[in-house]
Amino acid sequence: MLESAIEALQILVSPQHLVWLFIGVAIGLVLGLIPGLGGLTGMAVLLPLIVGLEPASGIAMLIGLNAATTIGDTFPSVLMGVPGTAASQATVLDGYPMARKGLANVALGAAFTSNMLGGFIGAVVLLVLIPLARPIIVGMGSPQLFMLTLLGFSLVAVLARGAVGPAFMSGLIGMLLATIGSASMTGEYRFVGGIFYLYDGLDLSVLAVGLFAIPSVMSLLTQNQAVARTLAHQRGGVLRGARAALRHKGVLVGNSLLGSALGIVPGIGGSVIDWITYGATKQAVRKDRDQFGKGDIRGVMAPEAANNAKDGGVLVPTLMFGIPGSATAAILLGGFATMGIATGPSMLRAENLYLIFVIIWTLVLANAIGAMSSAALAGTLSKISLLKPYTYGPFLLVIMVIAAYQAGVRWGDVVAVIVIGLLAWLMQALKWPRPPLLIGFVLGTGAESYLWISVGRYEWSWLTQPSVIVIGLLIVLTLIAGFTDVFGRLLGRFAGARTMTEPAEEANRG
Amino acid sequence: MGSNRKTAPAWAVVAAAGLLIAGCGVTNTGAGGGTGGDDGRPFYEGKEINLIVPFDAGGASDTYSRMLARYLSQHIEGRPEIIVENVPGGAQKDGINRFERTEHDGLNLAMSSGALVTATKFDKEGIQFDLAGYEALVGFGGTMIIFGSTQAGINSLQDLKDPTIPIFYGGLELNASEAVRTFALEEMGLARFEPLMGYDGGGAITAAVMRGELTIGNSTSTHYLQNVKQLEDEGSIVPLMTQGYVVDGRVVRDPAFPDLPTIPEAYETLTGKKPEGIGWETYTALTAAQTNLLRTYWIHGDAPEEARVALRTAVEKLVADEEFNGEAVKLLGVHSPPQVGDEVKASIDRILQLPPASVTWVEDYLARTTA
Repeated sequence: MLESAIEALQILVSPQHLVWLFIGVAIGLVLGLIPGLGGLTGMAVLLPLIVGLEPASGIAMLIGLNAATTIGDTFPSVLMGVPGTAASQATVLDGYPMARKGLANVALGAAFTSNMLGGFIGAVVLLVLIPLARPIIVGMGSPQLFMLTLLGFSLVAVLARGAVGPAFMSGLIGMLLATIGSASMTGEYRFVGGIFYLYDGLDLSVLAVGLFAIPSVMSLLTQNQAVARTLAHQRGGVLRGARAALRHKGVLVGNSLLGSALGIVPGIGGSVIDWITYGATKQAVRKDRDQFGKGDIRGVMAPEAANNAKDGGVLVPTLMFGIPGSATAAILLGGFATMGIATGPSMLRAENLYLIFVIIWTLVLANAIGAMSSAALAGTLSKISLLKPYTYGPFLLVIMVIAAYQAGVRWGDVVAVIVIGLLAWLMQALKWPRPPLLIGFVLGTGAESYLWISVGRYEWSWLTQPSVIVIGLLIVLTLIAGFTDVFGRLLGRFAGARTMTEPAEEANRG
Repeated sequence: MGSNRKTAPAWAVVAAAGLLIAGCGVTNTGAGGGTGGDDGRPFYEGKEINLIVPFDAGGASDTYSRMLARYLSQHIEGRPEIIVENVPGGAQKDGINRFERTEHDGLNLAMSSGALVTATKFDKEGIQFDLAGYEALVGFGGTMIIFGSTQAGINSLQDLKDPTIPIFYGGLELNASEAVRTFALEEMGLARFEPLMGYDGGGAITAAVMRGELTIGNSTSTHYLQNVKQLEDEGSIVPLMTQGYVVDGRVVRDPAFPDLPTIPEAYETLTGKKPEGIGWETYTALTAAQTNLLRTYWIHGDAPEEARVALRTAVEKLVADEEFNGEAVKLLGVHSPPQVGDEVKASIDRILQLPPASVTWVEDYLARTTA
């Protein structure tokens, strides 16, 4: 085992493989940086190029790219309030307010530290869980998956911050939007109104850009004030963020583990994991919960740690059973096949073990290189928050619309982005929260087909399965917590006189 | 705004990257073309061919088409560049509609799967083209394999008839292509047959079969060999039958799985009856479209004769090119039998000239199953 680990590291750090790793990480960072583009685009474009590449090089490039995307996407989320990819939407909630206070560097430092350590923890989880993956895959049937989608949806109550009614309405609209297009269970088309573009349903990246990115840029432009007036602590801000992040070990490790665990379950993507960990952290922390959404460093750390940790988790079913845990993992599988790597239990055989370690080391190295080079760039890039929006806003709008078009090369995408952008603006005006809409959209398709399959397979007896009941209880607890905040008060009483560092203050101290 | 200057390099990086991505997006050029000369020079010399692939960049069909484009270009006299353009969406209809709107000048080609050929009969919404007006240059096959869950008690074909085992069969979407498989399985007289659609990919079906939620599931042979085979080796999945290929009007075994019976053979084994009647005729017609024509490459029927002749010659050479076939097997994990000329035409005609009774049969079947 140790031999394989060392052998893999030796292979990977040889110049010809390292070059591919750097290429992958560099492309990944740039793709994450540009709102609307993501790892999926990059992988799809790179895949045809890896034919004939040595497995270690190909793995280094593809996995490096994937890991780096979720690091690069932090920049626009924090600096402009525009999510870099669908998986960094929750980061906006606290990262952007921090930038407004002139703490962009601190937020970025905390985010990159979380990215890196999350990525490490994800790699360890992959290492530990590979032999244990089978019970997890076999234990998650359609009823359990359906209940998990409901659990995800119940977090809407937690994120609502008082406005529970509008939040649920927004979530339900999201679910409705998810039903546009063909119903796979019956093959019927729904809500397409004869518009050919809608037959395939709405695209997640188009929805995310329209819902969050366009309105952010629009309001930046209409107010035309720089995101931050002054950039506090320009020197060493990133390091200060890193140190602050390390002080919240619980948030860091907890969310990394949660992120990896959720990554293992096929069908739960980065965008859902993002919100789940954000909501869960908000529920779990004892002190100053009301700071969440106003620039709490923990709100930046939670999704960022989970996002990179999930890559390790996603690879568990992908490598062990050829069951892709996400869309990018599906492309990765295609890449493995192209390079002649057979996935599945045979990967654990002695002669193939080194490949698993190549993957694990790649995750570690890619996260380290990505986070460190991002940290190095942070000082320069964070000055974006000092710019007047008109200097970059129009450019950003064009890039985003092109990115949306690039996603599917369909003119309908451009129209859809604009229509959804208008809807988002309306929701902003009505003070309806937009995150629940996206959660509803992401979970809607899965919820519908898992329910359909569960009932078709087990009629209603699935409701009596113990695991279904356990998840059901979790949903009830989440809803109670979201509506009443009773647990926070209970925990607060137990915590008693114990004091924790005030996160907002700490951030201010920088 | 003194800081403007300092951020300029960062913005330059972003802009350059944006341009890079926009530029490298979806093109891939083949081997370089030759330089032209005298009067009798080849039609394609110094020209560029656009190949529309109606799928996302990076998927199996896209990767395969880009690889094919590279080899095809070498075999066409005059060595034109072939540029792949991805036009995904609308269940391939977007891409082929676009192909219809391009110039019919021999410089535009398109790829489609058998599902599109089937769609022109059963899912006509949004179709702006007529396949009868196109010439299929070459079709590459790929079959579907049906496998059982040992967890659910299936160890052989005979177990499907065990009255104590309810048969839950899983698939992606209930459409005409899936209908002929569910029909055929239902005909086998299985104890309690229940098709469950809505799984979101081959992986999800495999996982459901592993845990016994599904008694039987299906996947493409490529997915099976690359991702499911190892589960067969360790004993949690058992292959049962394949959809087969259609040769001279008969369903024959997949050369990649010579020991596995075809669905009609399995029917005969289990029921002792010959597969007959409108349902099985429709099965054969749709199988010809789905498996024989898994990846088909088209040119407009009214493109210049010179162009069509040049391409016909080129695909003859392409399917005989060992290097191409080797790379195709490496990419797909399985050999896809090619069809050219009259063979490919016969497979297409089978569905284009489908008797109205078959069309009605499928529509009735779908309506019945959905209800």
